[in-house]
Amino acid sequence: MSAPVETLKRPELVLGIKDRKTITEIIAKPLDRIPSKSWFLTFALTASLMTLGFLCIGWTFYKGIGVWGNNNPVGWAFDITNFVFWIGIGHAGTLISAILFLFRQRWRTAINRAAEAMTIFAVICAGIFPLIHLGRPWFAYWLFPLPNEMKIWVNFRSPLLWDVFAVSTYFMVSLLFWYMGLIPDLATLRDRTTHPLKKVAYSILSLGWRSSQRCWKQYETAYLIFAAISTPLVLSVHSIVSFDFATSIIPGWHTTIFPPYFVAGAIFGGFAMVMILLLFTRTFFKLEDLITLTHLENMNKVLLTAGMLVGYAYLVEFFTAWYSANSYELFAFTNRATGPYGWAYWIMIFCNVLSPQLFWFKRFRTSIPVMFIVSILVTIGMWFERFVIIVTSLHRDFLPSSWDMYTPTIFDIGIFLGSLGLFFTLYLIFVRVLPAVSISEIKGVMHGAHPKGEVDDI
Amino acid sequence: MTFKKGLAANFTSPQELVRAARQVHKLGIKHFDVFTPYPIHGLDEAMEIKNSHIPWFSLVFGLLGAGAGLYFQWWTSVADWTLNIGGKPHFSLPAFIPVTFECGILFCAFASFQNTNPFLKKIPMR
Repeated sequence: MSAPVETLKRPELVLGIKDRKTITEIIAKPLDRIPSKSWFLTFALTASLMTLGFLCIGWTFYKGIGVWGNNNPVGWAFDITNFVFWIGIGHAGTLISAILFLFRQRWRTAINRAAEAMTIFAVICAGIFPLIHLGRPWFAYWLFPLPNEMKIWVNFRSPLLWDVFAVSTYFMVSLLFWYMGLIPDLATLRDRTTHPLKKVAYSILSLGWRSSQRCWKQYETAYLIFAAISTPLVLSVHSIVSFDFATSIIPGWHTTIFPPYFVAGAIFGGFAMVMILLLFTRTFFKLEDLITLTHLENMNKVLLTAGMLVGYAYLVEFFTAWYSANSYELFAFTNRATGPYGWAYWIMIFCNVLSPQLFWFKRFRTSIPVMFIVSILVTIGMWFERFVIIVTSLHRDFLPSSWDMYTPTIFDIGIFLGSLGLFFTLYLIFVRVLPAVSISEIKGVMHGAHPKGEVDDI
Repeated sequence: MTFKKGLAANFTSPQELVRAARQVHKLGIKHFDVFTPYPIHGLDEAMEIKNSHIPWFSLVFGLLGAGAGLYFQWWTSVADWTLNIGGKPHFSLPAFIPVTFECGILFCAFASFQNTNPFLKKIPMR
């Protein structure tokens, strides 16, 4: 006599809603009304921050890079920290849309649109920093292999040039992938809007989409290809960013663990930022039935895993420094933890390694205040990770005579705040003009969406 | 039943829709289409839609992009203006891989997107 087999029930991805029209209404309704007062207030705040950032950038262009705190050993400081911070955040979107798509993680459907939009905005923020870091940003086009009167080409052996190619490719591919996913939803908006101007705009943007099964077939094929090429792309981009450091000879940078370590960190920081944005989006737009606690819990599991990977990387770095018997390497790491910037190191450890450990408990994984606080801590921690890598490695050079401390000026801080402002401003505009959740994909994961009940099969 | 130009029908469940599509296809009707708010699994098989040509475009353009990227790096570093940078070989293949890869991905993405558009707009019925 065998005991009856008990199967685990799959959690429903769409709660409480039964018909498809309601889904369209829930997602598309907010785009029809005038933004609320709280939206305008938040927008005013973020747009002011953005303006502050652009003022600081303007002052940098006018006076020169000397207004920043960068000095001789610490030549890369806030600017490159912010670049790596933002490009890392930008990785979560493509991870969610491409890698989770290939793994058939159906819960991604509710969050991929917002995450992809976030990717694009984060890459825009990231792109600013290398440009202003050039010092003479009007020569930024020298980064591209353009024919010029000096008859000289760019150095293709330089990781900084790989960065140009990687980041610009990543931006273009993410933008196309995001737009591709938007086409069916733009067609839905086109079909339901009564506003003449919106009708024209949506008609142009939806590229004549007609929702026919013959079109869906092409669409799904192309979407799969985009997912398949974005997956190696997303891994390559942050690997290449890490090459900027790893191919140098600075102790603390010159390690082979950098590419996977940076990719894990990017996923970690990006998921935390997606979490922050989604918590706001689902509350303000009343999307609790679409972005359910199951989704958030899954994201917390990813955060926990990525956090442990990052913690492992921190340990391995120390181990390698000791095991290599290289005194410069060992000094760089001991100095990281106990030197003048030790406080930054321990903030990083606390935020990135310790705080996500709360997610071992289901109570904390499903608690919104806890996940909000942990996500903010992780975002702070990931910023400090880049700060620690860059500044602590540089401020103690090979020659003690050139050792110096780095202190940011108000312009460094202003530009960083400005990039936060730009990011959130773009996101606020996005949630007002485009559907923040994919309408067509949500319909595909509803109960009874497929004749054979495939939702449960995979 | 006689009709001049065409016939349209509404279905309330995906099960009925797939059954109807299979039936219509079995009857030998070529020019028909199904409009759904999301891609329904099993409908392709029921309608026997041929596989898309897009993957071939993507593959060819991806390889073309990677080839063009590598060729351009060779041309600038070896053919057009040789420059000794740190004593490294003029054609330093390992260092050229990242840009080659990114060019391949970029071309592949553009080709996939560009070639999807005409397929999306294709009018199946005359």
